[in-house]
Amino acid sequence: MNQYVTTGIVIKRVNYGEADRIITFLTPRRGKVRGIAKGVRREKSKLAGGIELFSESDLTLIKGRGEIDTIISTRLKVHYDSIVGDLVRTGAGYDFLGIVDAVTEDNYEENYYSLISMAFKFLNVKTLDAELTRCWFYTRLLDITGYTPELKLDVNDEPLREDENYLFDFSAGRFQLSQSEGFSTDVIKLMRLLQKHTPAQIDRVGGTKEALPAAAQILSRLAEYYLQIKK
Amino acid sequence: MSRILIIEPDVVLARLYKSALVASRHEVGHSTTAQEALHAVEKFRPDTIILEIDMPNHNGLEFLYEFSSYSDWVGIDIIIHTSLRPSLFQRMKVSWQHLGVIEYLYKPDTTLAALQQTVA
Amino acid sequence: MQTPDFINNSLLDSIVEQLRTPLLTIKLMVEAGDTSQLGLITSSSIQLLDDIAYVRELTKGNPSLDLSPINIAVLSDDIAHALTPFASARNVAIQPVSLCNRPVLAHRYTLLRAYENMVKGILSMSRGEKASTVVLSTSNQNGGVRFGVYSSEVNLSARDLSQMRKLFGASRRPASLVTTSPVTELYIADKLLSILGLRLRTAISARQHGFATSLTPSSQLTFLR
Repeated sequence: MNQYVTTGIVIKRVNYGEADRIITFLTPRRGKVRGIAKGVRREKSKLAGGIELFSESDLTLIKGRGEIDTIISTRLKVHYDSIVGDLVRTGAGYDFLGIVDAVTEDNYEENYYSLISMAFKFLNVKTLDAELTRCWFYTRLLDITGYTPELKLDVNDEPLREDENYLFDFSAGRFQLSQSEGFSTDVIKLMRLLQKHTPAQIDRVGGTKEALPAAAQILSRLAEYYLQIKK
Repeated sequence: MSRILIIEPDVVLARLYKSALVASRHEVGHSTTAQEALHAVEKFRPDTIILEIDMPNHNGLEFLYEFSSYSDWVGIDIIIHTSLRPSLFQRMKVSWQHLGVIEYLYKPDTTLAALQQTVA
Repeated sequence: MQTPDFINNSLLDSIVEQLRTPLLTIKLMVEAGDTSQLGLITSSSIQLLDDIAYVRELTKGNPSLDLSPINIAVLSDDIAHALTPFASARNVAIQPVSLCNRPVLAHRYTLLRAYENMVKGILSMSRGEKASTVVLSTSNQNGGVRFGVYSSEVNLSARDLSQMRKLFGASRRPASLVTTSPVTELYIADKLLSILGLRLRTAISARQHGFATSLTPSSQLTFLR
C-alpha cells in the first residue's frame, strides 16, 4: 500500500460529489498534495467539513493512481484561531492562501511552506498589525520568486536620498526621484526593514505605522505585476 | 417574488429586515450564524443571500469562501449588508466579485425601503 | 507610573460598536412604524452608558460604599423580572433558581449592576433562532454564596475572559475590528465585581456554560422570617 505521512497546510477546499471534499495541501517536502476526504460533508457539525483552514495538520494519505490521493486521517497540530477572530486578519489569510495556490501552480519550492506557516503565525498574533504581516508576506514572496525590489539605488543607480520624494518604477523594480509628490524615504526604510526582519522585530522598533499603507500598496502591486496575481 | 436568505446575528434587526422583505412579497429565511446558513442554503435554496460580514465565531468572510466551494450554488447572488464601516471593509482587500458579491450596503445608511429596492 | 484610564481605545471601540446596533434598530423601527420596543432598546442603551459612567466614577477615587445585608436570591428575582422583556426580544426565557437564602454584606447597587451586566452579557450572546433559557442560579458553594448565569448557547472560555481583560487593559494595541460580542457588559461586570473585591469566573452548571461569582455570607446576619 502506498501510504505516506506528511505535515500539511490547507490551501484550498473544493466539494466533490454528495459528501466528499478535495483538499489541496502545501507540504514541506512533497509540494502541493491533493487529497480526497471522503464523507466529510455528512458531518454537519463542523463548518470546515472536518479539516480547518488556517491550520497545520499531520496527514496520512494513500497514493492514488491519478493526481488525487486519499486522505486516511488528519490530526490537527496548530489552528490559528485568531485569524478567524478578526475580519482584517481573515481577509489577509485568505489572500495569502490564494496567492500561494496561484504561484505554486507550476513550480514549488520548500520556501513556500515556511512562508505560509510563518505568515499564519504572525497573523495569529493579535498585537501585530495585520497590514505589517501582509507587507512582510509580499516582501518574502518577492524574494522567493526573485523579484526583490532595489532599495539602495534609484533607476539611475544613484543612492536613494533622505528627505526626497520618490515614485516607484514597476518595470525597473526601483524608485525614481520625483520633483513633486511621491513616497517618502520612511516608506523605503520600512521596505528595507521588511527585507531583513520579521513583523515582530519591526513592531518592536516602532514608528512604521504611517508608512505601512504606502509600503503595502507598492509591494502588492509589485507582486501583481511580476507574478501576474489577479485581484 | 424570490427566495431570500438573511444571514444576520442580531435577531431584532433580522425581524425588521424580514418583515420589510415579506411585505415586498418575497419568501424569506433567516440564519444567525455561518454554520446555520450553510444548512439553510442547502434546504431553502435561496435566489439571493443578504449577508452580514461581522459575525462572531465564523464570520461572513469564512461563510463566503466556504459557500463559493459549492459549485451547485453558483448563481446565487450575494448582497453584503453590514455594519462594518466602508473604511474597514476596504481594508480587508478581498476580491468580493469573485466570491459572488453583487452589492455592498452599509447598514446605517440603508433604509428598509432601500433594502427592498436593492433586492427587487 | 500613570494608572491606565478605565476607558482605553479598545473599550471605546467596543462601546461604539455596541451602541451602533441599538441606534440602527431604533432608526429602522421608526421607519417601519413599529415602535413597540423603542422604549426597551433606548433604556438598555442608556443603562449601558450609565454603567460605564458609574465604573468611571468608582475607579477615579476611593469611594466609600455602604454595605448592607443582601439576599442574593431576591436580587436574582429582581434582575430576572427587570430583564425579561430584553430576553423575550431574543427568544430567551430567564429562569431564576435559588438554592440558598443566606445573607451577604455588600453594596447593593454595585452588586446589582454587576449581576445585571453578567446576565445581559449572556443574553446578548443568544442567537435567538430557537427558544432557549438563561438560568440565574444562587447556591451554596465552598462555604460561599455563588451567583451564576448559565446558558446552553454560551461559548466563552476562561481564556476568552482573560484575553478580554488583556485587550481592555492593554495600553498599546493596533487597531482591530471588534466583532459582535458583548464584551462591554462583561467588562463592566468584571470591573464592578473587582471593586467589591470579588472575581468573575467562567463556570459550568448542569452542562451549561456561563459566569459566576462568589460572596462570603455574613455570619452575623440572619434574615427574619
